[in-house]
Amino acid sequence: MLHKTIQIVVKDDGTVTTDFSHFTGTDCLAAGKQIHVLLAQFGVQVDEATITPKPELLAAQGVQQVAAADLALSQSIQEEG
Amino acid sequence: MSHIEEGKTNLVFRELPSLLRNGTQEALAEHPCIKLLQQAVLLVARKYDGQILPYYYNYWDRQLPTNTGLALHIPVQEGKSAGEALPRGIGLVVDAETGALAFRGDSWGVDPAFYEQLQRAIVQTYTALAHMAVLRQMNYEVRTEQVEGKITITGGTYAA
Repeated sequence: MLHKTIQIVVKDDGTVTTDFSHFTGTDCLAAGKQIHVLLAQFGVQVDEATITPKPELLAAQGVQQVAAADLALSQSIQEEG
Repeated sequence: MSHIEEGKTNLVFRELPSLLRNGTQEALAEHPCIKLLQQAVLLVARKYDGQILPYYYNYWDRQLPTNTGLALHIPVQEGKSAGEALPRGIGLVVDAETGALAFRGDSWGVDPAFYEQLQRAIVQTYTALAHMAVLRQMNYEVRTEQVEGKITITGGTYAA
């Protein structure tokens, strides 16, 4: 099994690039959020953050969207029934 | 596999203004942000054979204390240009209203590029140390390396 890895590159212009690898599904997004919250304790604010999803995250998000759509559909059928 | 995030960082110490107004010097010195800032300045000072003092000098050689207790001084050294020294020091000051970090000092005679490089090095080192501390809080094992102006921090969940 591959271990979760977070690689952070800090440049001298204040730019930070964080690469999340070997996470399951959308866990990487939660880890990213946790990092931002913990960094704020040290006064580090991350502005203008851009997120580039890797194919695996897109696939996981797609599965979640399909599941959410299925759930909404089944709920509306139950309400109508 | 997952995603890549890229962002620009700013240093704003929101808890420090109230501590600066109401706290003691001892309480301020014990705050995690000040401790980390001290570590960052120390690492930069070592790199340039400098030292940390709690004050910097103005043009008239008057000592001006910093509210962080941190100012980086780099003496003129043999074999190096006088412009690559900070004989009056550069002070790290936290804005008492906003908590934003600012650098104060008289840069007369200092190479402007060198002056800027030092400020960036302090902010970069602090940012890297903060990321290392955060990854450790998240129970990651942390490794670092510095190559060509970039600091790379790798956190892994290697433990069983």
